[in-house]
Amino acid sequence: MTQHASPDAAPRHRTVAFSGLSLRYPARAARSGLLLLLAIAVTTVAGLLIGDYDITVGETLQAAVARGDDPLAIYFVHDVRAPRVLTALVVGAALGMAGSLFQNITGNPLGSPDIIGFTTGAATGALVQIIVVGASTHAVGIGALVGGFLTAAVVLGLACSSGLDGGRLVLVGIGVGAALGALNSLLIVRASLVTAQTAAQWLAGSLNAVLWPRASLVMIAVAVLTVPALLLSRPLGMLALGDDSCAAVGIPVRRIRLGAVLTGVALVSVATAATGPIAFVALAAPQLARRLAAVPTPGLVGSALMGALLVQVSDLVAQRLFAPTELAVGVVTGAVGGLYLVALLAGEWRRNHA
Amino acid sequence: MPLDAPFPRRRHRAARPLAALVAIACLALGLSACSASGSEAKPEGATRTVVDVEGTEVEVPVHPERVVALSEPTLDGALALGVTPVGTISGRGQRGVPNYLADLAGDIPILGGVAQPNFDVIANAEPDLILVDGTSINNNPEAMTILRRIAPTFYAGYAGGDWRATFTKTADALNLSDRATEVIADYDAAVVDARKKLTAYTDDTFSIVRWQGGSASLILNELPAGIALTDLGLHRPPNQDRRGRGHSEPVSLENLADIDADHLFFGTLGGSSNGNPDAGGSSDVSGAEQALRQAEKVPGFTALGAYRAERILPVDGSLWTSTGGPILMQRLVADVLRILS
Repeated sequence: MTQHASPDAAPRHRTVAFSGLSLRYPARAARSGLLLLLAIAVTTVAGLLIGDYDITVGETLQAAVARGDDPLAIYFVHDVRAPRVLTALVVGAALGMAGSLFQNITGNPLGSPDIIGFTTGAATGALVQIIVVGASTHAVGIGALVGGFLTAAVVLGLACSSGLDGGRLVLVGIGVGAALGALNSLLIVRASLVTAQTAAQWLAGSLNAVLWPRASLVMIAVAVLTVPALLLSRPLGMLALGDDSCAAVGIPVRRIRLGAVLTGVALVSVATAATGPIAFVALAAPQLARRLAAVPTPGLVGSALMGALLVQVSDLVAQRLFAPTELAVGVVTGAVGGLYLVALLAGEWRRNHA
Repeated sequence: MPLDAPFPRRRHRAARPLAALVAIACLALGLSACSASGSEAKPEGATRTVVDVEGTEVEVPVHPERVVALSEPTLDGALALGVTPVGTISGRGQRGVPNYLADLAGDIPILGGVAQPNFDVIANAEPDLILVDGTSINNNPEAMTILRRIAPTFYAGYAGGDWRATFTKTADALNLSDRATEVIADYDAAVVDARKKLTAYTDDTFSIVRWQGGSASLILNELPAGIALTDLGLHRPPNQDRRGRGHSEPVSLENLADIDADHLFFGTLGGSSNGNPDAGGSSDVSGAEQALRQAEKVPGFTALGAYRAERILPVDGSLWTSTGGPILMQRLVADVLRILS
């Protein structure tokens, strides 16, 4: 980026001190984080209040605090819209964090789980559960987790036989992802109508009819996974200095990288298990957050906030664009994210051929 | 490597977001714990208990007045019984009600699509009975939970199930079982009548093709149009004379000859699909004719025996290649008679 033309130019930092502890943070990143939080707050309230159910804004607000004489209005706001909005935010944050982890591991903006096949692999695991086993909702989630991890093992095994190379990982991942995508189509075509329909609906990536049990489960899982993600993100960022320099200052390079891969795969698998694949968020959120904060590498918190905002806004668009007919949120992120991917590739090409 | 863009350094951060996330999770758990759960909508006035196809006992009004039919088979069934629903969903791959029901159901408000029901507008319709089946709300317990909060919800049949069974269940929920027996008898009588007029075709073979996205798929014996042909005593070519998996079976272009027969019914659902319901195109006969002009450009299509004998018969795709109930079956029989005689 132009404002960092000199390699040792760092973003402007501020420092706050509090009872012996001090925290140094980049000023613009903090501002962009606040901006994202504000946007998330606005879209969350919009998600709770906007709907086709025939009540006034006042009645909706009453229902939000569990007052008013229409029990169905209270039910819609508390038990249908609230879990949907929170799931959108948490799944978006998980995808953003996973994207940030992988883009830092590979040092490559294309090294995100939806490009390198992990999302597709999680979908394969879920489809095997839906179509071959004929399993219930929770088993589908477990299938997605297993599928995501197996895919990660295959991709990393093939790509990293001689050390980790970001470009190689991306190319191998694209190949494995394409093969798994074909397998997913085959599974659906070979399925009976009942299971094929369940599978196709799940594959679209939808937040329609997410209730509290599912929302709570995904929130707990993502909250737990956020702990290792935060602990790993700082040493992971230092890996950009080169493996040897890191090893010299005592950073356990291999352990950090392995831990980040496991956490990232778990995050993307949990998100996919909860809603079906929501395309391109893990790819786009870290880079958009990085640009907004004007920092050189995608940070974990910014990516999480941007991911949450992207999925929440996309779900609002999916609900409102052709109202009363709803789209699946994955259709919206797929359409917008596809354009983003083209722009990203075009930009990379220009930079390398200028 | 053009894709390699190393990231030089990393910024500092605080651990506060973790605390925030944990707080959100706790809040969510608290909310879910205190939110009212389990109570389902109870009908007012006189009720009776019916058992749906999944074995669930549903308490429904004795005479339902505001019925919402959230699938093509239950919409078709309700209309056949003389009940006009107060709301329904758009037909598969279509923007409005299924094309073949447009004359009967054109004024019924659309409350969402097949896979993504809009619960808010369903509630606005203030139904006293919601009819669903496996072609709409399929293996989605959460959607059923929400619908049951809005009104008594009856699961009438499975996707790809026998239309008679789904229709009989639908009639049971509507308390119109006697009328259903008459409707089925009417269909059987129409079939007997039609068979007499089709005796000239008993030695011919018939194929049913859905042309979608530039390639063909076959409608086999278990789907409504296949059932109609079997009922009418019209034969399939040997390779098609079998039951499929409950949905049209894709035929890859190198195997295009597999769709051939003496007569070929040719339909489409337009350019749209489940994933892309707004791609446009039309599912009626003109849509089929348009699709046929595209199919002619596919190598091998013009070499089909049915094409050379000019026995490719464009039909309404919403009628021939989708799903429905007794009205669909009656209209299929009428369509066959109209086309062949």
